[in-house]
Amino acid sequence: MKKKTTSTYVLLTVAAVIMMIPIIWMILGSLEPIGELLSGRLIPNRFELHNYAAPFAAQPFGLYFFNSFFTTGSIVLCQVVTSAFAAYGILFTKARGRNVSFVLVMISLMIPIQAIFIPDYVILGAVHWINSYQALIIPFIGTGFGIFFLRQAFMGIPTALVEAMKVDGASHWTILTRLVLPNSKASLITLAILNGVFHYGYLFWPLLVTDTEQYRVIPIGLSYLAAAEHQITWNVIMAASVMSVAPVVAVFLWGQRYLLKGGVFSGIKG
Amino acid sequence: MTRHPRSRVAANRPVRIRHSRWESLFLLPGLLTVGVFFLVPGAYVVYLSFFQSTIVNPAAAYVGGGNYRALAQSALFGPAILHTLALAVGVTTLVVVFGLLLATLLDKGLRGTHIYRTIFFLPYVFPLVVSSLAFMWLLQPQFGAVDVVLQALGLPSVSWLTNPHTAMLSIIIVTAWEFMGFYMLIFLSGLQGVDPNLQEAARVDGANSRAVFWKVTLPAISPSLFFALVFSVIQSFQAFDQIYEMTAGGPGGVTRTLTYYIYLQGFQFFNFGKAASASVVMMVLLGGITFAQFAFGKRWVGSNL
Repeated sequence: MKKKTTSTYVLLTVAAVIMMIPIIWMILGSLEPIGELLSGRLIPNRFELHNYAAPFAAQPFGLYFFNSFFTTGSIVLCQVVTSAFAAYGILFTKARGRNVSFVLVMISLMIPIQAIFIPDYVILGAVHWINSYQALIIPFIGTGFGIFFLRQAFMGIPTALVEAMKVDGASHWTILTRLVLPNSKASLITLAILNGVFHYGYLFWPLLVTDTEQYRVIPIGLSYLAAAEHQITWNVIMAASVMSVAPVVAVFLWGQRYLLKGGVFSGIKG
Repeated sequence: MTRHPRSRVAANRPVRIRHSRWESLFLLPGLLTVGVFFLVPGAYVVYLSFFQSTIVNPAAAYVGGGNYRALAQSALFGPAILHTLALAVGVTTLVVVFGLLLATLLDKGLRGTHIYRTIFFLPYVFPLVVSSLAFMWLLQPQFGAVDVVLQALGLPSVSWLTNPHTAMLSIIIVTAWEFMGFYMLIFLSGLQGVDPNLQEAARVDGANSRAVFWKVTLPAISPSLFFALVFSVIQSFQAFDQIYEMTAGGPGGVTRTLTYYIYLQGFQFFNFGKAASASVVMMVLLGGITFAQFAFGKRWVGSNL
């Protein structure tokens, strides 16, 4: 039994080290002067922090960070709110069209964004939103996934409890804010984190709908930086990468107790 | 919460039907966005696929099935489908095998499990551009860690991303590294739902641990497994960011997948009609897979999704 435990630890540690190699190599690279970088040594002799200032000198990374935080934050906030309302409406009201709505949500889950970006682009062009914050935010303020996800979460709340509150004369607003939302905290945070991580890192969509520096977000900024540095000054590129990933890692480390508690994963119990 | 107008209950009943219309307001913001940016475009892309486009007019001239015939005859479309399948098979195999292996190890509940779990999941939160750049630096010919080790062993240097034999492999590895932790959590959640009495009973009956895994544990988590297979294939079909950053579809088109093909047709060549018809092919393929998951998943493996 003892031997088995040891071998489990060995396997887990080997796997963890392998998974960490790109991250460690990224951090090491970000701390090396260019001479060390091109020395062909695995462990550098000298470190420097200057690389972390270089991306800001080369490009308006401050603006890129603002754009990313602003657009991601807006999407997450709006999507959690619209999804919570819609999921509540589908489950706990007698709203007209709630059954049709759920069918439409299920259909939308089968449509990948990569298959419909051309019509989306045409629609945004028709209202002159190409290259704007609206183009980055508005298409994602409500999604089938968000509604479906929170509907699954809200299904855990006993209908009898909701009915009892209705009988007591509670308004929908009271039921939503006092019963449904507080009891779905882990799911709400899980949706917010999954969404935030996805949109913060999303290159594809901003690449299509923006074309000036003013609306450039972090993934595009990094891509531009890598191209501008001719993929030679990897120390600068890696420093920018480390700074770009830091906010999402911080959010993940804070929120992982909710994320891992169940949320998305409990819906597919074995 | 202090008001208790119980007497209104009976009077409420006819009122409720009248309420139903304003209650629809709950659905409105979410459904409106889904409608405008997902459902209408889903229909519109089908419509566009029957038209030839110009830069100013995406539906300039009706061409019937012309775009689809052009796809069938295209020297690039077929390979793009094959490259997508290669990516899907490669990534899915890696994330399922390693995700399941690590989940099994973590499921033993040893001390420190949560630290390993955090490490394995961490890449999932990385922007794909960051992951791509980290791997490009890792695989950089001459000074990247992989090449430094190869040189130390006296092996020749490899240009991973510009060599047609290794470019797709590199994309597969980055993608698997990024998403493996997500699947590991799905399997872990599945494993934790397995009744330990089942495994114990098999052991009492003389089954060794390998037999317990293959005959008891694996069938018990088949819903997780099925979900992971379907989801990973869908995810692979949509891969774009890492391909754009690492190889831009090259070298010689070997990493040009279906999504990348649509992107090139639509936004490099401004051939919206052809891009739309390729989008319809993708919608049909992925829609079919997703539909199969919802419709048959329950029956096949008892999923309660």
